[in-house]
Amino acid sequence: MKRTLVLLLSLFGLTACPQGEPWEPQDVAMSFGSIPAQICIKVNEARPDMLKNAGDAILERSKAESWPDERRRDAILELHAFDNQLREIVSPGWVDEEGNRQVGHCRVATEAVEVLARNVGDWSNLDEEGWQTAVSGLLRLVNTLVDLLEHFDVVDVYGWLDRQGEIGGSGAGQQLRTFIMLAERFLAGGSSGIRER
Amino acid sequence: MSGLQIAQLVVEALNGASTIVRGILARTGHLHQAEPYLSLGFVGLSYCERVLASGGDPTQIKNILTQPPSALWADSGDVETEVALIKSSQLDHT
Repeated sequence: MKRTLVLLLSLFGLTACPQGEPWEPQDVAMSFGSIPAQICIKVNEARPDMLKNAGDAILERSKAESWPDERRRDAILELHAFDNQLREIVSPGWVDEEGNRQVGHCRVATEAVEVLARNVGDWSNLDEEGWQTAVSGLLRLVNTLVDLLEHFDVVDVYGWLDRQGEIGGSGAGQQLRTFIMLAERFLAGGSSGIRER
Repeated sequence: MSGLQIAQLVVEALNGASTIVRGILARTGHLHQAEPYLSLGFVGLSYCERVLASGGDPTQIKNILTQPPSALWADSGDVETEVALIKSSQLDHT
């Protein structure tokens, strides 16, 4: 039994992983902000190409199906509206039409997690309410991101994300899947999921 | 049984029947310690899986996965903002 426990705890990072350094609680907590941040940054880098490709696809389809000018214009305007929504999530910052400097939602959410993570000394005195709020906000954000990407001629969002590059040795899409699964599990556990029941 | 097979079994247990893992930990008095990892410890898990599977550089992987978001965003370059500010400035002068 003891051997099994040691193996389990090793796998959870409670003790040193084989060949590696131990994961301290702060490391695990920080990764919760780091992974979505890296995904958002990758999506932001891909935005210009995504917009161009999706625009080209609309033009090709409009020619093939002989769309009236108004329909084609509406489709392009709609695409730009989706891009604006995407920008609000994944861009580090931009200046809006009134000239006000804005900061992307993903940047705000992930840096908020970073602040929480820096305060994680051990798991026994976790800011449970703060974590619940931060993780649920971040989960909503990445789900919105996935929904938005489907408007950009991206058939398989997670596969497309995987092709944008790796994060820590795994594809970005795979890391996002894992993040969503564990964020949902964390939230389903409620506050009692953090401390002993 | 290889280390990878054990890791895969633990992943399956976590995905499908985490109560079994919780039960083991509860009986040995470690549930309190392990509970946060069952909720939040996905990176630790995938990291260890990767180490067991490929023998990669665990320190490097850990460093990539735990970079502070503020540093990542700063490194990503606030290009869009700067370009827009320049355009805005140019418009002011015209």
